[in-house]
Amino acid sequence: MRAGWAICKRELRSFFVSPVAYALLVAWLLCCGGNYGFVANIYSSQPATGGSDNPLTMFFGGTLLFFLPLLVFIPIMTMRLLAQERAEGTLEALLTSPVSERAVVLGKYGAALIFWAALWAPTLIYVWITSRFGDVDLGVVAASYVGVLAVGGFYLAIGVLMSALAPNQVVAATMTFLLLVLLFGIGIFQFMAFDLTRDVFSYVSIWTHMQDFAKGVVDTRALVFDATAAALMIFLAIRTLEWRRLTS
Amino acid sequence: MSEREEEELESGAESSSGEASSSGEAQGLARSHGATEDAEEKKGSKSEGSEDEGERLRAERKLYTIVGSLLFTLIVLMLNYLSFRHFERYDWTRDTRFTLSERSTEVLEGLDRDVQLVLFFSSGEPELEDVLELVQQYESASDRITVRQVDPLRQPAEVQQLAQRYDVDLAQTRDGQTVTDAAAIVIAGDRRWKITRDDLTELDLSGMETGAGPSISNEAESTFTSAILRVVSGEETKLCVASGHGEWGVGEGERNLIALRDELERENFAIETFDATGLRRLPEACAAVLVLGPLRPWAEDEVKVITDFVDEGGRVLLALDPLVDRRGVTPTGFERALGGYGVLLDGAIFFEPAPERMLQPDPTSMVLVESRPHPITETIVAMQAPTLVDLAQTVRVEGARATTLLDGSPASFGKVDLAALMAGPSGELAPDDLPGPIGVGAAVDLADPDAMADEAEAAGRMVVVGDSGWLANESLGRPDVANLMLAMSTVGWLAEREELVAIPSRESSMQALALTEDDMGGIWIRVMLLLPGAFLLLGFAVWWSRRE
Repeated sequence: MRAGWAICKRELRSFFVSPVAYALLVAWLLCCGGNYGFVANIYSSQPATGGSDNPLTMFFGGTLLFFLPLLVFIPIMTMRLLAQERAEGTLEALLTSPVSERAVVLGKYGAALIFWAALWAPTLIYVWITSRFGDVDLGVVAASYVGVLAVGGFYLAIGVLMSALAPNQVVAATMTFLLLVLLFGIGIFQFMAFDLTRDVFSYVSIWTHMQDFAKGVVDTRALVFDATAAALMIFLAIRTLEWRRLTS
Repeated sequence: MSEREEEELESGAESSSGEASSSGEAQGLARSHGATEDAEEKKGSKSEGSEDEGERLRAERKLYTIVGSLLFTLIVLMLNYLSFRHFERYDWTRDTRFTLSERSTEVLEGLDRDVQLVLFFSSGEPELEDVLELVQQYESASDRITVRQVDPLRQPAEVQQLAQRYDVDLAQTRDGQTVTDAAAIVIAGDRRWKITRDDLTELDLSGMETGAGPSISNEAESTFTSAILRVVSGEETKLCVASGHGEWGVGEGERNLIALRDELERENFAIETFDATGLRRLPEACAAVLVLGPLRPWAEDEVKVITDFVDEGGRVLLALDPLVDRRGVTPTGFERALGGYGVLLDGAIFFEPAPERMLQPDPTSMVLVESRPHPITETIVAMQAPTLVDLAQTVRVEGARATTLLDGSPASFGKVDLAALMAGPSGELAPDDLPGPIGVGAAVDLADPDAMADEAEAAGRMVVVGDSGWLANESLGRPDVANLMLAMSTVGWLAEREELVAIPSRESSMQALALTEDDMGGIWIRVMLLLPGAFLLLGFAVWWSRRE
């Protein structure tokens, strides 16, 4: 685990000393700010129906403006993790070092998760702004951030797997984007399906997951799905590297 | 991994450019002779045995990788199947908006047959969002509950089929959309119960006057739990309502309690009216007898039938308004009999001078009273909700069998001198008046405190309130008072249907954000300029320092 942690720290350090991280943060905050401003504008001009119909619930998953940046930023964040090493020919050297594939993948995934949390940390300011003009339920806010981490953990793991499979960053980002769009699309099918089919689509839909979390409801189904799917992606990423070592 | 290796790894990062890859780390580590298991494993696979042996090992590892991946995938699928079938939904909201009350949980735990909730909701009904969430809690709380949602807009054929099967009325809007009169149906076997949209949510505008803004009252839990009880409980509980002395009626008529009747019928009560003039015996199988606001006194023999009923384990609700005429308060006929149970009707008018308890400038009519701790008032006391009474007579208690249920503020008292009262309301206590705080309601339980539970359940119970206006349709419909909850809890306690002790509604404000145009401008500046700008500056500073 120490090797994994060292790789994680190294990844974060190399990321935060480059202007890329800040460019990404600025772009991210512009997207989130636009989403929040849009939501605040709606709730300032029309009454809510009460209960779960409130600005922060809508911000965290109530509109497409929440999900679209996810589909774009996660491929960008994860594309370089392993694909860059492979494109530069350093992956083979890394795999022949006394660092296990598991440590490499977990270290890089951990760094991506921490950066994901860092992207969301400034959005706490929106909670503070909302509390100045209306009522904020901190339980709902906590559940929303748990949801953001759970969904982010799953999507980042997909990015890590694609980065392990792809020959270069561009292919990794494209594959991740397409897979995320496909998953998001499958979730959308819940609105067209009925009964059991709807329940199944709803089970894998991050739209449903985030709507629950944003209402203040923590559903074990969403947590189990996100955690196990992320674990599977990470496991497969490790096995991909192992396979590559065995076949090289 | 050794400390040295870790240091090498980190120093590689520091010496490299911002976009450094892990090659420095890998090469540094390859040079070192770390003794980790991974290293041993890799070294072993490369150095051990002949080339054939190496190939064999390699083939084995490939097989392990494939089989391991398949097994792991299978485990993940199984875990998700289990999670799909058995799940929990934790409510983190401050007011536990989506947590079922203890009463509902008890009802769900006691279910001995399957219950289906069919919801006729469209996805675009925001006011029903919380209702949908609550219904999922029912499903999560009991394996006996299944929920089926059909959308009238997108599944008209299915809605039509269900409507035909369950007698739901359908209508077409001008734009051809199908709408139903029921928002949901609760079904258990061949029994079913219809729920309308008005039963689920109610708009409350009373906050407009105080500046708190309008709110929505979510009655869904009370409605669904009652409906479930109604369809699963076999026999209806019979309530016998007395008439013949000018009492309130439960049918159509000038002086009626239709709101109370509707609520009781929703809770699976059957109401039978009987003529109490010259009463000799009560109708058969009355779970409770209700005497609601007689305008003329009862005769001694008639009262005796009621008290005998109570002594034999019967249950009675007496809502006895003061019978006021020019001479003063005329006895209702129950005074002497009630004295035997420790309930004193003194013929005094309840006088509440505390301004915060008066809804109009008259200390005798439309005043708020407070509930005292009792199984009937458990929820109401917790909510600190007042009850509205209208020209009540005082009810005092003595002895251990009677308990005060409702009383006034410390300043309240019983006005005996009606001549002074008629001359004009005065807050002064006359020598004959009854000092406060004074009650307007009492509960009597004839069970021996040391008796076993089944004996206690067989003992008589009685609730006496010195007013019947608290049961009037207008009073039960007011969301700012607890009259409806008190009425249902009282009947529930009397008829041993204590699961009916009312489930409070959930209020939520409709005013999400109080923003002016200037505020909105400030928000745009903060979220689109200041916050991203701060990180832009930070990034520039990092780039500048790295460049130097």
